[in-house]
Amino acid sequence: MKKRSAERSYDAPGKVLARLAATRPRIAYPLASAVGAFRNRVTRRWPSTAEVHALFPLLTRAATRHVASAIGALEERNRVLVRSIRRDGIEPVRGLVSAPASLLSLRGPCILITFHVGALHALGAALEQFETPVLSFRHGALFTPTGALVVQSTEGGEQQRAMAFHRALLHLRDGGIVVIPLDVTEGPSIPMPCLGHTLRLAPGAFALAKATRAPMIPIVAQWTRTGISMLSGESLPQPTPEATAAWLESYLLASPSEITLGLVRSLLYL
Amino acid sequence: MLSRATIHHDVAAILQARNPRITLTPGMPLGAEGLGLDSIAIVEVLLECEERFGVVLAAELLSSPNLTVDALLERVRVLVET
Repeated sequence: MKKRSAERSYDAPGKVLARLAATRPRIAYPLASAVGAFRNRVTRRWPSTAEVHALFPLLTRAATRHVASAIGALEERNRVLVRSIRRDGIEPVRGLVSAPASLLSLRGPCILITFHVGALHALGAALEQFETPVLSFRHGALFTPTGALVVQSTEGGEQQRAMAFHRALLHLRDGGIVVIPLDVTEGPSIPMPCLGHTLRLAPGAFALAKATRAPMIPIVAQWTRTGISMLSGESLPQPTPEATAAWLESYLLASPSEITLGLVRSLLYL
Repeated sequence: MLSRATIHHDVAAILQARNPRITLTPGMPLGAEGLGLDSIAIVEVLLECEERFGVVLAAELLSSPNLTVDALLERVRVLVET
């Protein structure tokens, strides 16, 4: 009973802010950040400074505390974002997301790889604006996409995943763009070292790159003061698990506050 | 036209190249509970069959309810014969 009541109070600000995000996103998300950072400072959890230190041991004690608080803020913002999309659809998010014209006009075949960093769940709002058709892998659909974007769920067994893989292969051969989150694995995974721990990568993207010779480009969505910016890295020199893990490690070492709580946990505990 | 025995032999060779220690049985699924192929290997096997026999079958077989060894053999045979 006590636990349920605690869960309700834990979720209460998020529910209110998700409602506010539909009409006043530029107020709701900074508030969500403040709630997340405050919760992190009070509880010293989600994540703890020890967890941050385990991934970023070279940070000073003050910087470690700051990063833990920033990850707590990011977690709450993302929870509000997901709750808001589930509640009111992607429409309120569309006005917040911006992407450079060079990315929106990207031509296929091309594999865009994502990780659980930054505002991952907002990427769909930018992918809809691409000029080339985009097939995006996701575990379960968060919203009904429009424009260039089609979402392929990876839910189900081996045969369903094979169907998704085959669809992506045909899409790339037709000159399309495929978006794959690499740090989520439903089936077998490729373990790679990252930040002194093990990153488990989904193998499908590498098999697609090998079969189609499509380049692999990392993309991220970052929360900014005024919204969400979608950014892309350079095309990976080789579409391999080693190059991918190295890219993610260097991105996170440069921007440790961009790692989500989910990725912190999967690196430390899975 | 390829004979039924040739089709059977060639499909079996493609499948057993993936898992040489397993004995193929007609109702055996290609996935984890049968031949033990993961999603990528299943697609590679189907594309190898498409190339070997000059047919298109992957999308259709992947959307069928039971992707088994005999379903694959039967589909290849029907497509080769028509």
